[in-house]
Amino acid sequence: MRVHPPSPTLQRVAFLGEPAFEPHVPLQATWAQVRFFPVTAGQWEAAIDAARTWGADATLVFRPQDVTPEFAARLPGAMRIGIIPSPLFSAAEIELLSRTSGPDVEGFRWLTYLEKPTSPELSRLPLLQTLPLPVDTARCATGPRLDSRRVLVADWASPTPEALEALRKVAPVDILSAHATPDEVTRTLEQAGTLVYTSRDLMGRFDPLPLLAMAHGLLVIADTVFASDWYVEPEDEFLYRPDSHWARAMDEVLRMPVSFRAVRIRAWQKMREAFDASACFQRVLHDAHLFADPVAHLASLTSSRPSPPVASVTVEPPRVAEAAPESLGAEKVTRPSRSLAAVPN
Amino acid sequence: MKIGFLVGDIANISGGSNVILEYASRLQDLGHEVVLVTPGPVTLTYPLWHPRLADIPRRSLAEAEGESFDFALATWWITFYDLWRVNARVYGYLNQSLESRFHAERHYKLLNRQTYSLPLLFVTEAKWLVEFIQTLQPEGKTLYVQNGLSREHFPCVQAPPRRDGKLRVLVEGPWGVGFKGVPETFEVLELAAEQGVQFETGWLASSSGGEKPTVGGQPVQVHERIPINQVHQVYGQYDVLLKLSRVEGMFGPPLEMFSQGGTAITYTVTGTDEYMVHGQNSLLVEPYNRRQIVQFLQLLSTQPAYLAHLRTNALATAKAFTDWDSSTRQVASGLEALHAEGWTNAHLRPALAAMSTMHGHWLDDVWRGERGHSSLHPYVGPGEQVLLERYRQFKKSRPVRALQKLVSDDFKKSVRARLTRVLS
Repeated sequence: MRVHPPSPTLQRVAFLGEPAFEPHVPLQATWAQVRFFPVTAGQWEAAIDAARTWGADATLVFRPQDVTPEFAARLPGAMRIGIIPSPLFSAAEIELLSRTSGPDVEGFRWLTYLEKPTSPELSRLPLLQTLPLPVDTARCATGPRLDSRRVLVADWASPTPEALEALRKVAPVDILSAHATPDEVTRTLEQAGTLVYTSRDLMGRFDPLPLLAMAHGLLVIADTVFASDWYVEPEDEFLYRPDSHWARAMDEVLRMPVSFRAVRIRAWQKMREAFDASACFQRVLHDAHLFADPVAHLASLTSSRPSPPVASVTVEPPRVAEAAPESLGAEKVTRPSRSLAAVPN
Repeated sequence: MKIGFLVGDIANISGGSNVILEYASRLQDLGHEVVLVTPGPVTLTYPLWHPRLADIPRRSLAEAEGESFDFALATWWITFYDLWRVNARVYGYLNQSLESRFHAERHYKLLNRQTYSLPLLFVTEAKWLVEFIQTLQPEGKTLYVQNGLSREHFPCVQAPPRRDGKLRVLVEGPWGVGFKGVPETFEVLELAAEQGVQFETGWLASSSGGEKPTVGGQPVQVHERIPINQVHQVYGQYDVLLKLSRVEGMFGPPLEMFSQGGTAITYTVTGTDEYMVHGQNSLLVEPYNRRQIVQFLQLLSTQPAYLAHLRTNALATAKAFTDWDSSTRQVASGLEALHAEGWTNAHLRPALAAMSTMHGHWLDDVWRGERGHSSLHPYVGPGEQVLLERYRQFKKSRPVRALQKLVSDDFKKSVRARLTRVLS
């Protein structure tokens, strides 16, 4: 997704949250300087001070329900948004958010929620938009490692012992520990070709691992699906199989790789199309400014109007995975310098 | 050069067929011999949906088998399996989408993926397809050329038409094709109307399928089976195109809307990256963020200056966009370069024939199976199959059939719906 610059005054955007949220923050963006300030052991004050010292113009906070009104008032920047990344059940947390968010509150101007709010109390919060936890897909730009045969199983989402045993007879299986650090999770994902995953809930609501795996180009085989309005397409972007069929599914994947490489590539692409952290947070900030004051937003655009995107023809563009997100309003395609329009790979 | 396009249903209007005809007719204008190779004889219906359709020679596959082509290009994925039937120096694939996504059936999805398994010449229109093809089939050759915007059928207006009154929203697409999302679009509009957004609605469709939708209790103006050279007149009557399709190649309709000074609201569907920029010329929404569309409609209906900003930039995008002549010259250059260097992949013909044979046998088995007793989910086990077969026999038994005759269809429907709800 390409997004118009959120606001010309937006130079520095701070992200605050527990270290586990770090893979969900862009390492870099072309639309602003971005930086993640980890909150360890619930110590918000140090992270907020660091973000203030850095001079953030806007702040996005993961789990805003953990922030007291006093700390919410101290968040830096003219635009402060709370990202609620997993379902909220606690009445006390919702009540706190009602006090720390809204247009007339010294705290969060807006909140985002991962799905359609399910209670009237949640609906009354100043929700800007629906936003499942996105992934910094720029870290996975090399594309799927299609030759990897290793299977990854998370110990918190593993199948029955019988199904796991059957799987081990087909392919090498690595177990991902619930205690793995974000770096260890990333390294493990970089080694694997397939994630098999079991859950009693829809994928992605409580656990970002399936989305992370798809962003790394893994084939996801699961006994559950994503929320229907995410449009992550079964059979085209992941495989939906009961765990008693996982060994058979893996056997097919190994014997008929062409049929399933396409699934891995599409999963990798889908994450960038709809779940890329840079694009998602850019659009959050854009829409936050737009809806907060449409007239002021429009006035800010007239002073910094980018040129319209134009069509172009290019010859065998490099593998489209780009290390950095596209620049704002300017398409990264090149006009050909010669008429020859087909060259060998 | 002699170029054959293997096509499916070319006699009826579709975006994919339009792309084929634009290339075919313009390559012909450049002096190349172009043939549309059809599965069987084609009867054209007048008036033609595309003015150039009758100008291009057509031959059935059976007739084309005796001919030699410099380039034979599959188009719709099914035609890949017919490539081997023509003799060609270069076998290629004008690939406009990942058509696996058009089908719910697993066997079609799997067969579709095999169409990328040989190192053909791939001509394609969108960067996401280039990436997909090059990652999946790195040995193939890939030629990326964006589709043009037809200056004949979609001449850009000078400026966005000035309009007073309510926001005018256009829905585009056929009703019955699931991934086009037309029923879903009307649901969103209904929600917007319930929330008090003021707008009027039109619907442009190749086929309405007999549907007569209403929004907010008001009938929707239907524009059906409009010849392609008149479609711009429909676009010109509206401010914003609302299109919630879930699969697109290069995504032409918003660009056509842009040419008439309108903007668009769409999902972040494949193809949007080609020319759409959220907040500059259009508004993009991730599918999970569908509720935002109502807010956007509210915004556009109450903030005419912001609507004008989007429309102005949309028109500028369309004016700057490439046209079909340029796109065709690029394709021609690519093909001519390959021709000049003597590049060929004719050796793939036996492999194409073998794949076609397997494809045919497998589909025959699938269809035979579906006609027989096992139109079941692939993961229904043997025990469940026996139970289901017993249930079928029970339903066919004389007493049950006699009982069924005594019960009204409405009651049966109601019971069936209730059971489905309870059991699913």
